[in-house]
Amino acid sequence: MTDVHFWSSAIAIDLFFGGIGVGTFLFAVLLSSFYKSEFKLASRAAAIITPLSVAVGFTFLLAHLGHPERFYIVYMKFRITSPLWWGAWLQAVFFIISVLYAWLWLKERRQGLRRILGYTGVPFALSVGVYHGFLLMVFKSKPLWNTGPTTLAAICGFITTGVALVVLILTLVPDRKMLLKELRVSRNILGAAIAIQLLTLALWLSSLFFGPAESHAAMLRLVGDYGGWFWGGAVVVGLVVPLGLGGIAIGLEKRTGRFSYFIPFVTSLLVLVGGLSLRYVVIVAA
Amino acid sequence: MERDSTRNGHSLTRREVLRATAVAGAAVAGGAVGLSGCAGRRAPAAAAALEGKRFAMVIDLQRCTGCGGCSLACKIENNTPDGVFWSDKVTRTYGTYPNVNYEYIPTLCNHCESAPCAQVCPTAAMHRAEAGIVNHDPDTCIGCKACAVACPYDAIFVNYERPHAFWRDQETALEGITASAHEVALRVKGREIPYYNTAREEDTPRTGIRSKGVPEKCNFCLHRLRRGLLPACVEACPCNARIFGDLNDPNSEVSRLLGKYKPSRRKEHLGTSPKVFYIRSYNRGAYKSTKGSV
Repeated sequence: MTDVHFWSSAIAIDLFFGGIGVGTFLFAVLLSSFYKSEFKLASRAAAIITPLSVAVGFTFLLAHLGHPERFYIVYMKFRITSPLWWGAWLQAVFFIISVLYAWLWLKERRQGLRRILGYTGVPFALSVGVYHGFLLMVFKSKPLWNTGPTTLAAICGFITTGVALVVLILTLVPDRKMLLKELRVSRNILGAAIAIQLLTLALWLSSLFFGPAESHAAMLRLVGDYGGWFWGGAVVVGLVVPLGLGGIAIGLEKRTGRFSYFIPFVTSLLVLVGGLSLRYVVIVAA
Repeated sequence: MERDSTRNGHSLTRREVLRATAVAGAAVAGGAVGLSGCAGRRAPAAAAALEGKRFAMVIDLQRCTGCGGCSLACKIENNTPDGVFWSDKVTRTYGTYPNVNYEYIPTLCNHCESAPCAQVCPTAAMHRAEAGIVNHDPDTCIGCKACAVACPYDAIFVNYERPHAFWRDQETALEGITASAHEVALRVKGREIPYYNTAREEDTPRTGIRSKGVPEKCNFCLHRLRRGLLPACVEACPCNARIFGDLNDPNSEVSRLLGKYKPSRRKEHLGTSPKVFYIRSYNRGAYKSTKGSV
């Protein structure tokens, strides 16, 4: 029975897209509040991606359920001990806020309300992000998940993938030269998020390494049996190569004075692939 | 639950051996009605008698022979799908030749006091029923499988495919001579499967004929307990290795055994407080002399 994956790729994809939604929402609120109307397009893109991404994630969650038609039952029960019950409520509230927020961005009106809605959504977005980690952390049966840094790794995971998707979309915009400043800021935020994520992964692995025998065995399974997904997909493709490419891009820009649109495109794509790999390997290796 | 204290107090009798043989024979014969045993109406007095009780099981490993009769009885009683064993085992061969040992540990749902499966369930489908038994209600289950992920004992099974596939099999052993399982199923009053435990179905709908996408697990044969009977595995064990009773009753057999022997439980460090206790050892080298009884 130990080889049975009760939770598999559908849950990994749900967490991946849900995480992207959280990241894009926070990114939209951050950009619109710090840079006001300066970075309108990036904020707008991020705000619109949010509910779409959450909806895609939710679709995969429903696909995973044995009886998706009964999902409403979750909202009819009071289950304070269940992280899934909390998650269902938090994500429902966050989704409603993100839909309204995206709609206000699309219609370009009531900016005051939009700002308030954005700030209201931040704690919910953060809660959903923390929930993604907490959901895994509560399972005592899974030593791979049952560590504090799991939550931390999840939080940073949604920031990297969320920002990466916005960067990817911005590099594909036809008049992208207009977005040079936005792309540059986004790229730098992405770089910082990747560096922090690498740190949290190291923290997670060390907590497993120095933990009890079961945690140690779980870590060996992650880095050994699933080493290809973890080292190759999540760490090298998703974090190390993008970080290196980002450094090369900044160096090139300083030397030639030209901004490379291709490198952020590739970087963000790799971060997304790596983010999905990380989600997948964390779920199945447990 | 008086029966368990009397039946565990004596050694194996010829009658019990015959009874175990009859159980196995009936399984091979395909079921019929007899083994649903408790297929009658629920006895209200017995159901009410579960109030205030805290059921637990003690497995005496020294008495266990590893015959697997418990697993067989469980499958007959609960018509679990192929590959699903609520009553299961963990085996281990250890040591180096010539000092090699074999260990057989019967396993089942531990009905933990602090059950992680029930805690994580977002719809209370996995819930604590009477007498501290952790039960599952397929009708309110959304099939998120969180309970199966949360269980540290791999005691929860998920019906990914439509269950009871055997009864849809149209292949015959001898073409034109024997009937296929599907033909047999069609002949029996149009039921999807010809045999299932009506008592289970009566107590918790959709636990007789299963539905796809929901988990299932041992519930200490709650339908039998409600009718004043012992769990099927306890009833079938030819060696009386399974002792079932009320932890809240200091005079019960389980309380007595837990007082007499130092029990162990699976993965105690997780803090789930399992209610399946193991006493003594399967390993012959660690046998304690009991002069034929516990």
